[in-house]
Parts: sequence; structure tokens; C-alpha cells
Amino acid sequence: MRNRLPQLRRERHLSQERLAAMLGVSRQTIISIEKGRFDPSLPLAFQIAGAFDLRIEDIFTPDAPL
Amino acid sequence: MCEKSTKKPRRFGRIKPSGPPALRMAIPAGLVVATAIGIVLQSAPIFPHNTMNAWLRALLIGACVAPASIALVWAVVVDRSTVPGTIPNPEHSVESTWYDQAAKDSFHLLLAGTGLGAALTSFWLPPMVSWTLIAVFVFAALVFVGSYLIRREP
Repeated sequence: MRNRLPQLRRERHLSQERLAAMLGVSRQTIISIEKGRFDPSLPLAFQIAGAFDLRIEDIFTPDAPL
Repeated sequence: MCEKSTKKPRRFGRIKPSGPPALRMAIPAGLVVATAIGIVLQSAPIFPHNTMNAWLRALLIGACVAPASIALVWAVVVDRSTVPGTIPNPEHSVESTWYDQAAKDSFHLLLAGTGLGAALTSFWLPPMVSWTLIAVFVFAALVFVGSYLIRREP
């Protein structure tokens, strides 16, 4: 799963630490999502989308159709 | 989000955000549990040739299990949100995925290790070794089946 999290975070001047605190997860989780090594759970994806006031599909895109 | 504690944070957390420190309850309750275990176990025929005084035996057993029983009571009574450094949603963090993956790998290795081990040790080692490995294999497999069936229930 590809994502625009680093770009969105930079646009809003949010550190990984700050975003992690907003979402109630560890900073390592944000790092792993940004590097594409961890696909967030659906509730967390909704939370991330909510934090940026976007839809999930505006942030995450699948690598290839299933 | 993490609920704000209205009192000074404690290293081992509190029973509730504005409640007493968790250790204040965990230590006495854990000692009671340890004492009960000591009294019960000292009368069990684990060491048939032991000539030690029964109360001393109970005291020694209780002292040995006290740290574990205190930790167990603490884990039950502590409010996780009051422990410094905890995060509100650990189940959505990547560490939770790592834990699940490690648990899955360990389980599969345990099954493979005990299954193969039981087969191989039956040739060269006393039967007790093989039977012990079979027992561990069967226990792990039964726990898996039970857990699977419980989750399958609608």
C-alpha cells in the first residue's frame, strides 16, 4: 500500500511524534506506515484520514488491484 | 486519547486516573495470594522426603511466588492509561502486528519442533522424552483448535 502521509504531514507541519500522539499510536507506527512497511488497520486508516480531513483513498492507494 | 490523570503520575500507575497507586493494592493483595499458595503447596506431596517445618516450607514457597503474584495482581488492577509512557491505542500500533507475527511464528515452530523432536527422540532417547514432546504438541494443538472454534462462533 502506497501513501501520501509524509507529504501531508509536511504540509501541515506535523512531526511524526505529534501525529502519533494525535492518533494514540507509537511513533514507530507512523514511521512504518510512511515507509510502506505497515498497512494500518481500518479504524486507524479512518483516524488518519480524519486527522487530515481527507478520505482514506486520498491518502492510501493499493500497489496493485486485488 | 489518553485520559488525563488528576493526580501526580506514578511509575507503576494508578487503579483509576484519580485513584490510589496500583502498587498500594497490588503488594498486599499479592502477598495474600502468595501466602495462600504457600499454605496450599506446602501440604502437597511434591517433596515427600522433606523434613522441613511446615510453616517454614509455606513461608519459603510464598516468598518464591510473591513477586509473580504481586505482578499478576498489579496487571489486573492497574489502569493502563495512568502508566507513564503508554499509548491509548496499542492494538493499532505496528508493535501489535510484530507481536502477533512473533506469536504465530513461535507457535508454528513449537509444533514443528515438538512433532519432529518426538519422532526423532523416539529412536535414541528414553520414551519419556518422546512422550513429553508429544504431550506438548497435543496441548498446543488442542489450544489452537479451541481458540479457532471460539473465534468461528457467530
